[in-house]
Amino acid sequence: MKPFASFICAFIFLFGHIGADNSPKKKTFELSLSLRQSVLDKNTIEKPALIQFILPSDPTKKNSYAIDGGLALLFSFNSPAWQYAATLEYHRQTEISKPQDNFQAGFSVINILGDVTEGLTLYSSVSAKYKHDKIASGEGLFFRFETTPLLPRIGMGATRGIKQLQVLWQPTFGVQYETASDVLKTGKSGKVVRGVFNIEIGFYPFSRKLKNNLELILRDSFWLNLNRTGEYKKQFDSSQNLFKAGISYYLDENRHIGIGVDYFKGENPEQGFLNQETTVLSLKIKY
Amino acid sequence: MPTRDEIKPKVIAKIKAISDAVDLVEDEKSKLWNDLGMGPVVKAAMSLPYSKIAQKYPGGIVVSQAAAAKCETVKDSIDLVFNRSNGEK
Repeated sequence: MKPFASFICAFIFLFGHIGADNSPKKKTFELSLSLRQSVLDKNTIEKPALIQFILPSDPTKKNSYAIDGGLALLFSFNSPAWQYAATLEYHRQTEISKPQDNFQAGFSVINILGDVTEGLTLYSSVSAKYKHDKIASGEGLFFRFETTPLLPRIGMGATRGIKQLQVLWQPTFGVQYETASDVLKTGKSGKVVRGVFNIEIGFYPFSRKLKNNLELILRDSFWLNLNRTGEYKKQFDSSQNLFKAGISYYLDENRHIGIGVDYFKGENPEQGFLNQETTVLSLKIKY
Repeated sequence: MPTRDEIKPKVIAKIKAISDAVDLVEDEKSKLWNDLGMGPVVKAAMSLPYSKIAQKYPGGIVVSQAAAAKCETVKDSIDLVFNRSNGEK
């Protein structure tokens, strides 16, 4: 538990003096729940939890299903800048050629540095998690620091454009450290330090008429393995990449339920998503 | 104790600093995402400017990220800051 505590404390020490409120005013404590595709995606364009059923055209192949869900219990103590989250996350894919079975439980601290109405603001999070992946990594610990700059006047965090087409984009930078007891079912352990860069662009055609409910998302995530030991050195390349293109239509204005088609190419080492190219039709749920 | 009419222009000025659809901000029914294009992270980050308004008043309390992120409309945002300015959750 020592690395967990040190990691969280270092983050609070670095950013702790900002947004702290020592006034004698009434103190507040707030609690809420959130369900998304992944709690790790909190920094970017919101992606609802996914349930997918895949019916292959080849009758000799079995039907399969996929689940992508992240549940967060969010709480804050008298601060507009700090938020804390206890998180659970599960990613499952039963198709034999691209199996995924990844469970994560942990704790995150989220900080907002700056006033978004005045200029550049940093939305940062630090997470420490226990991870159990039956296919990619076995049991292990996962630490992550990520930051997303927000600057609405250039479309970072809020849409910009013309009435017929609005665009929103968000880059995210970070570092990760992961340990694994059973890398790719070899029975051998490993450790890895990664640099992460993610860029996401959302296009909203006919945004006034369709109220931003039709969404085309392009996303590219790049992991650079800065330091690898053990089986991570043997089994993985020096970098990983995941490209995603998706189109979704939300049935209600609050975007609780939608349908969409998503195309993926590449791999996601955070979620045990092995290298593959796939297209899926999904039902999307967000609460 | 501030009135809602006193809080409203202050909140609208903050939202106008974010949104491109300036003509829709004055309408309290406008939705922060669907009409004004405020993404989820920016909605949460409005906790800081909202808190600055609320805490200018004696008894005013902070607006959390989660409370700011829950606002769906301009009206929700004004009501939230009005309540927090009067020390209510």
